[in-house]
Amino acid sequence: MNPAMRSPLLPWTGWALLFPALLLSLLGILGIYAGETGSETGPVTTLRQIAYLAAALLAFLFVYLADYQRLGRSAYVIYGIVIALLVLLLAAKRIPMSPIIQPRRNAYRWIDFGPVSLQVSELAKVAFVLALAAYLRFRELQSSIVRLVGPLVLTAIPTVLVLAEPDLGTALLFLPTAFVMLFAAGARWLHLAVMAIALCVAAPAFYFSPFMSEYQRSRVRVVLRQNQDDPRWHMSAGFQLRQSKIALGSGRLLGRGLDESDFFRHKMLPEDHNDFIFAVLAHQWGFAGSLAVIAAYIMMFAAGLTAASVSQDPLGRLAAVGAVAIIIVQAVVNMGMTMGLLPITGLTLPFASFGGSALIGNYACIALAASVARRRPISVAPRAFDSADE
Amino acid sequence: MFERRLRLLLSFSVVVAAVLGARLFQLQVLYGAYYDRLSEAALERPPETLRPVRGRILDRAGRVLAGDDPAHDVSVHYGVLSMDRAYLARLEQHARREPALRGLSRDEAIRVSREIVRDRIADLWRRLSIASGLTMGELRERRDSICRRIEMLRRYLYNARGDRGAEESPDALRLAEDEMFHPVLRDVSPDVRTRIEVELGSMPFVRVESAVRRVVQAPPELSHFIGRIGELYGDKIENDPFRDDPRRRYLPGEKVGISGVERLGEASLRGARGTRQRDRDGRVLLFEAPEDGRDVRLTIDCELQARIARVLEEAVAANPPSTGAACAIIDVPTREVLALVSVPSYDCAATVEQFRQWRDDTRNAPLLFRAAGVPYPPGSIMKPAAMLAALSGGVATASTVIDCQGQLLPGVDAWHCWTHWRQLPPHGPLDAEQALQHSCNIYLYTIGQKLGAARLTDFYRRILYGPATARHGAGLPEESSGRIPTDRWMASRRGFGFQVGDGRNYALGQGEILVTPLLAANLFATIADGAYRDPTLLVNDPRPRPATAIAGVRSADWATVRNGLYRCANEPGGTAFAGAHMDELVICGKTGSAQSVARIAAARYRFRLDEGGEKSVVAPTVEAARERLGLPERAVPIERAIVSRWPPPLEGKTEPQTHAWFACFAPREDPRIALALVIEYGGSGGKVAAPVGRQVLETLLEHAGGILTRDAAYAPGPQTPPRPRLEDTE
Repeated sequence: MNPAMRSPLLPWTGWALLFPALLLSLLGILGIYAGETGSETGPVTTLRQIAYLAAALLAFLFVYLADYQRLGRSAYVIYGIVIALLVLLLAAKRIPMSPIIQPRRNAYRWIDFGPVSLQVSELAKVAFVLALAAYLRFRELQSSIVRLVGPLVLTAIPTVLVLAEPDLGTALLFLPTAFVMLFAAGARWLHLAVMAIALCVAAPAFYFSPFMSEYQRSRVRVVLRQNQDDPRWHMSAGFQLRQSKIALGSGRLLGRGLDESDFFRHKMLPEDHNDFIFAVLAHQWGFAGSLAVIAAYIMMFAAGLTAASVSQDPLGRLAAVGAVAIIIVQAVVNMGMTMGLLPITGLTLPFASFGGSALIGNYACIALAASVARRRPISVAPRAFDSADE
Repeated sequence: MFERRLRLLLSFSVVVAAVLGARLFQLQVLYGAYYDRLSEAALERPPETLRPVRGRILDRAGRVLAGDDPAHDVSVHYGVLSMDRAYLARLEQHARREPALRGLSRDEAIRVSREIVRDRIADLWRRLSIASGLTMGELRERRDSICRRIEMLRRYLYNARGDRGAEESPDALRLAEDEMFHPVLRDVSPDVRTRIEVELGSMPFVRVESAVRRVVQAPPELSHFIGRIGELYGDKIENDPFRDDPRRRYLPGEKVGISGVERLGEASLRGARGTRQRDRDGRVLLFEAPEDGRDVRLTIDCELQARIARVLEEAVAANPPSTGAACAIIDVPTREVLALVSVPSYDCAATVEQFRQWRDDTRNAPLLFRAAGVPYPPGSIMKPAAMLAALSGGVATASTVIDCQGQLLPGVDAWHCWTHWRQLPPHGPLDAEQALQHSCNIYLYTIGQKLGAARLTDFYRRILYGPATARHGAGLPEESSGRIPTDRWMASRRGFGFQVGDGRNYALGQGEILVTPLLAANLFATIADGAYRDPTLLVNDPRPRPATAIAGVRSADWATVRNGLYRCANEPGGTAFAGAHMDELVICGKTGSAQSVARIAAARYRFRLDEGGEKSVVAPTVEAARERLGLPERAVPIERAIVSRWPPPLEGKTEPQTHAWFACFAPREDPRIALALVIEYGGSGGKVAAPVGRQVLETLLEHAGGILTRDAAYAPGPQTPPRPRLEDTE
């Protein structure tokens, strides 16, 4: 690799990835603080998030400088380590591994290292994108639908393991991301359509299968019944969505600003710093601010895709697409559930929600995309996957 | 192809973003105002009701007889009282955050936290039981009664709302009471208070709260009518005079006056509720101050009341088998009741056990409100009224002379004058005034017979009750209006209506006629005044009490009767002369010795049991019979067989000793006071009641002589202490 081919520090595509992420993190910290104003214990969560952000920026720098190609060479190793950790988490359900692995809210998602703990599924996202990109880079996908089995197996392993933690929200991220990457990698429309139809058929079956708990099914009902005028429903199962919509809607056009945080100070919105941070942002910054948040994700997505299109390296192209795809899928699902378009699953808003592992994982994702952008085209050979579309 | 697909992906993401943006536009812009309102409402707490401080009851001199004092209650959250699932779930969730439960699996934690909460609630009741000395059953009963009250309130408010709102059923209606603490132990001692605070301080669902309690400081002489406060249910709520005033209308479970003066003065005493609504920061959003109840001042002077009670107690003790006496004194021009004494009396603050004993003491019957609640045959004190009826009815004039020969008719059923029984010579010829002076039965038999029972009773009603439409009396719920029979009532009672003999009997105040001492005193006030007016127990009684003339009675008729009463007490031969004549006060009075019926002292009560069969027991009262058989309150006896009466009959007779009456007004010119007193089973009115009457009048002169000379010194109310400051009871 010719070092001269590298851009000086961070190309504009890199900045276009990092800038929206920093903006979202900043808004997130302000939003987290809203729920902590006047708290007796002080703004503990806010300060922790600031510390996590610092760690996440270090992770960004590390991945960015480590270079995606070097990481790509050990993609399967990383993938294997993460899968092993996921298996370890599941094993903790049977064999007590305290104090390293303890359930929180009855879910085995974290590995504790003293004061800090690691949410493995957040790292699994990066590892998965990298592994799938590495797998797909020299494959030919068009000849047969059977060619899609390999990538789907790669997707299914983390999906099933994360689902078993249980963490339905994160588990459901892998498949759409794989879908986007397969699409970018040139899978045939017909094959993708067959897959999509199969999914649509399987969805109702899955809904009624024993894999879905009654609790999860009730969340689908929450979306369907959200507009019915029943105070008892709004005080029980529909409470979370109702409060989220109130927080969001009362932001109105320009938002309430940072001073009026009564709604969150009184814990009127459970999980406000976490899964429902978007409702907090929308409350504080209004319709204008919400659009800006959406725009930030679009900008990030566009920057990622630009990096992919500029890159000549098949691994880089797919890694960049996958890295931004997994972020934007998560963002869309999170915002959709906050505003009552999708069922509530335990998904955070990337870059904004509270959580150290998530911040590190997300910044690692865009660092991956940014490091792709860092490499200029190296040859005049026909670009990978640039065969004529059917 | 790759770049085209990337462009497709980007376009697709823009479409998704547009969908999200459209939804945001809908929620934040189109429905923004709606959600804004909801967010404000979410930060509001339900409005709290602010209770007014109930007014005090003062005596004529301004002494406090009943008032609200600061107190401490032990209160429990409604969620625990009603074992509300949602509230218990909150407690369980709270328990799961405790360090001991960390690290348990979800199911395990739920199970353990449920057990913890259940144990804590059981512990709460156990400790409350130990601290208060109440049994678990009694505490459970209190808890159930609170729950019943709140659920009744919920239904009431649900039905009272014009629009049915969003709630489909009353159960869905949330009340501020659902999140409130309700007193389980009222007015606890400092010891219990400290104990609860130490032992139960860690339980978030119980707390010691400041409250008020009604403290009755009235001396026992007022116990019969000072009254109680309590809760109203059912149809009593429907009859609320303040139905249309949302700040005053009765709410189920609210403490209101249910008896005595507490009830009589309710309109003034209760005040009006206020409202306060706060947001979650405690800022007041809405405030409407409660309007405290006004004090109510009685026309009765406690000290005078107590002194008269002493006089009556001595009289009762001196005249066996008498066990009780009563006296009413009325200020003639204003008809203010200056004294309303019943002996024996009791202490309002006594224990339930003590009250049970008093209830079953059928000999002394201390719970009887003899002065206004118990009707007695009036005997001869009705004679002035009968005379007025005869004079105004045209069957006699002042100069009508009737010759008393000791008996009305020859033969066995002779209708004797009272002189016959005392082996005295008959009265001979008497005019109307002399007939009253000597209390001649023959004269009254004659005019009663001429007038007939129907006209006589009609006149009695007019002079005792005033205009037929008005509600007569002082307005106490315990008050009896006596009994003036009607033709129809007699027919329903014995199968045939008024007879000639009824008129004779009624003219003597015998037969079915019954009056209370209060009614008798007001009768004499009416005779003194020449017009009927309702008596009152309240200074500044808001009721309209116009003076109404008695139709058909000419001033000459009044003068004749008043003269007769004057001569009765001031001329030798008058029945009240020996006993009641006074040098310092010119009184016009009348004595009476009324044939009495002995009280039931014990009876055999027979009950049919729910589970079949019958049970019977001998007991002084039906309540005692129920208690002895362990029957519920709703059990009604199917038979009552009288086992014993009290007092026993006189030797050789079937009746016990007569009731001794004395009634008068004074002074003769410009009358100020009217008095009636009865010594139950006391014997002769002239020998027993008249001297007591004189003692009572002497006491009155000594204590409140000013009232007879219209002295301003007896104007009500010098020294009323300020109301105690009550802690804010939110």
